[in-house]
Amino acid sequence: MRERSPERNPQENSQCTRTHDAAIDIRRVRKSFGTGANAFVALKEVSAAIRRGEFFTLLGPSGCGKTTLLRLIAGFDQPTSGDILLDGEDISQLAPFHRPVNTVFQNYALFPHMSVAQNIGFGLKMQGKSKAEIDDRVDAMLTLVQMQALKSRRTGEISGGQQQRVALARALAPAPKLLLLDEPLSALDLKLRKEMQIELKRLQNETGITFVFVTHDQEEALTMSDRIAVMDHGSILQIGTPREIYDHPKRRFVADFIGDINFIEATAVTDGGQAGARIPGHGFVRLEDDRTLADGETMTLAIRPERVEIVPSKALDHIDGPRNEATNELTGKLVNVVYHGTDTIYHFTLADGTVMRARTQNNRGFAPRFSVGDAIGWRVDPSAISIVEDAAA
Amino acid sequence: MSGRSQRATSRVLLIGPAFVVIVVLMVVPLALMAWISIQERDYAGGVVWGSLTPDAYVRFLFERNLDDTVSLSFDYLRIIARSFWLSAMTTAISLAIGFPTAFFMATRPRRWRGVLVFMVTLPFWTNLLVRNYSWILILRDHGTINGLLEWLGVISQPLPLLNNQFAVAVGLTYSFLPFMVLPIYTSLEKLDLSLVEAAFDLYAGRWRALRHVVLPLSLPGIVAGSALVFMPCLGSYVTPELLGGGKTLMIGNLIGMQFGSARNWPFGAALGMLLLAILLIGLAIYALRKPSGEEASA
Amino acid sequence: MRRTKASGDAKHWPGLAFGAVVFFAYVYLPILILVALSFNENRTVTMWTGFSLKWYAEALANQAMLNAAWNSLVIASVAAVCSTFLATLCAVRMARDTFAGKTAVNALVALPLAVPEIVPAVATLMFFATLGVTFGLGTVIVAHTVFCLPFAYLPIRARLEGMDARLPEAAADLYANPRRAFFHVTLPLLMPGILSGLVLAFIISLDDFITTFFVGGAGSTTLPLYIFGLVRIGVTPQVNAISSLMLVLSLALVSLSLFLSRSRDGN
Repeated sequence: MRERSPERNPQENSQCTRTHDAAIDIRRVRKSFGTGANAFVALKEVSAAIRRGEFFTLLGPSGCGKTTLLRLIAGFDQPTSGDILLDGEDISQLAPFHRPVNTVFQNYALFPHMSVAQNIGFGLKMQGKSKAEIDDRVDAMLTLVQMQALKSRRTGEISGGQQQRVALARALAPAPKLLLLDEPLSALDLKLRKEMQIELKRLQNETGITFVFVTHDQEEALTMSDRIAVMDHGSILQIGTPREIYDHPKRRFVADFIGDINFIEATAVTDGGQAGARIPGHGFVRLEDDRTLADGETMTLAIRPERVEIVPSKALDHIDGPRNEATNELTGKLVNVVYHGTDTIYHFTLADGTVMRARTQNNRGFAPRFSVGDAIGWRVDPSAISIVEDAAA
Repeated sequence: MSGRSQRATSRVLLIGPAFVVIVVLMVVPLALMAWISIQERDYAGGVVWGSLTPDAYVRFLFERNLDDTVSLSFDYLRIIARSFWLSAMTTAISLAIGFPTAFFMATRPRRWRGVLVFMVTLPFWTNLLVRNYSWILILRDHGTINGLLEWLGVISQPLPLLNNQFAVAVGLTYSFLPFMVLPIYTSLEKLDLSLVEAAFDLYAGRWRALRHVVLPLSLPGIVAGSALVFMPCLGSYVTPELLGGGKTLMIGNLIGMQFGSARNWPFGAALGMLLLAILLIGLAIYALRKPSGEEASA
Repeated sequence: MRRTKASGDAKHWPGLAFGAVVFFAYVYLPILILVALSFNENRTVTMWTGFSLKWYAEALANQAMLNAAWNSLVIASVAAVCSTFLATLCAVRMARDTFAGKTAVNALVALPLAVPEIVPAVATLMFFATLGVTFGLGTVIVAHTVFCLPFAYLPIRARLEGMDARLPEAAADLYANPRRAFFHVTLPLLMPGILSGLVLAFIISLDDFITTFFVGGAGSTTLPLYIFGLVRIGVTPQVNAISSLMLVLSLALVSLSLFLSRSRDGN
């Protein structure tokens, strides 16, 4: 039906092959504020294709450009260059009040001089809908977010969680093609946040609307999203499902930002067709990462602590390589044992002094099998080792 | 970019009117005043246009005699000096009363602070004339103070409290005191009291905690407050007029006279320029001291 | 016991409460004395002899006073409305705009606050005289509009700054064009600030003496000018009554303004 330009961003080749499904297609979007020497580049050539009906999350630390990107989609700012396509139509120069896109603001931005119902009906009223139509739709929305009882309250008179629901209802009432959510849960306390996470997923399922969700909370991103784009310094570093992002981070920043992780410096070994790495002072470990490596190339390995298993050290002299290549068993020296309630974390050092962490569940209570100072063995499955790029974007 | 030009148009339409009103009715008259201050005086009132002369400024120090010779005269300089002296006194008294008050307010529980700030600001919004008039009732020969002292038998003759510098200083302090309290309060309110506790913890006594912690941190407020009291004092007109009894003239009264009985516009304009110059110097010092541009709360 | 409490408590300092008491006594006693004496039936004004409202009755029957009061009301009403209108337009644009010279415009609007009033008063006098304008109600109203501007501007600006910048954005997001966003969202939320600015400008104009004194003319005697004239002649109980009425009016208006600016909406 529509002509599509070929993918231009190599990062997305694996994830975004089906662009014809894209609800929002962000193409090489740049945004800088100010001019000349004072110019601040908030986004550097960002591309992403968000699929229809998807729960898509922009994850990153504050200042990474995620809110800027959201504001460009909403139309509050215009990109310096690049296009934003909504269902194939370029909307990047369209005023926000002409875009079928609605936003749930970080602090809700409910109109304080209007009632709950008036807030929800505002968009429909501005669209010029008839009063009867507005009333029906507002009632339906109130039911959807379970706020019927409070419809004539002022927004200042309801709790934070209730305001959150009103903000959602208000943004959903005009039935937008896309709902943007700017850290909508950050103002809520932990318990309410968990409740609203479930509520948001339910609303998305019921309405079928594409959600673009901005957060700096990695746990929130992992539990709620269909796909996540991890951002830093104005770039998207990796787009993938929560599992891909967590288990196979491609950048050091992505690995580090989400969850706890160990980094080891190593050199690539491609001897005998077996991908592997040499860790200084320890020898060879086998890898399963599908990246093509040049022999002798230095690289950074990333390993989640829960994938590291501590085992008794049988032979301290065995430092040339793992005794069992299937399990990549290496040696170390235990320096600290930290009790964390559900888990115990073992800190140990490698030959070059790198501190590593291994996490084990306290399934049978806290009963450390090793004590500080012990020489230990540790093993990691080849599938649990990711090679990450160090370079900043 | 039509959006751009549209924005520029609406800027002109919205900001323009206020801008034009202030430029035409404030900036232009002040510029005119500067021009008039270097014109020759017309004895019928007004000026002889285009006759450039520094006469008006020369008058600050010299007096032109009947035979057109010029001799040194300190009459006007004395009034100018008195204005500075009274303004400095007023600023000092205001600081002495205002600082403890501001500190007291800042250490009250939060719910009381709003009420106290309201109570401090309230008199500012009442009529200046009326406020100064109330001091006539208190200070005059048969006024509240003298009456009370006589009734107590402390004095038999009324003390001369009104129509002198003392009365003017009291009235000026009364007029501008809130301007001292509010900026100091603003900076003290931001002061984290745990800093004072830290000073106590580190063996500072009250005096040294005040001297080394509270005062330095409230300095921006003290400076702003002093400027906000000193400047309007220097240009005050009503207080010396009412409480000075026509004897304790200040610059403001001298300016006023040039547009009334004395009919000397250039001299009045020159005195106005003097006040403007002092204001500008003060602002310049303030701007240089604080390049970041700390807000001057008024 | 007491010593240990006093020496470690950063909230309580010896002498502060005393200083505050001195301050508030200094600020409020003269006003209270004035109001009290206005109810004194005695003609000598100073010593209390009995309660009476006769000076108020006398004042309210004084035609010259009533004329002056009427002038004050006319001037303050017109000047307040004009300055608030100008200030609202300006503030609405200034709050959401960035352009070279914005600081200069802000400084310019605050200019009438910074300069001692006597200076612009005589400058305006010379300006009008040079232009050949007839002094009267018109010149006073124009001059008042100028110095009322910052007083009207500041509460409106404060209100705009206290307003969530996302609210107009939310309106735009919900299909309101800029005009409708302004009339449906910004203006209703701004209203308390505008009213507060209006009242403040009204009070400032009502209380003004210096500017009116210099740029006024025949038929523009305001209440403060009338009081000034009476005070120069001598202290009379009627002056106390008129002054007290002025005080009460100012206090009522400033309380109203405060109430408006603290109104719950938009906080």
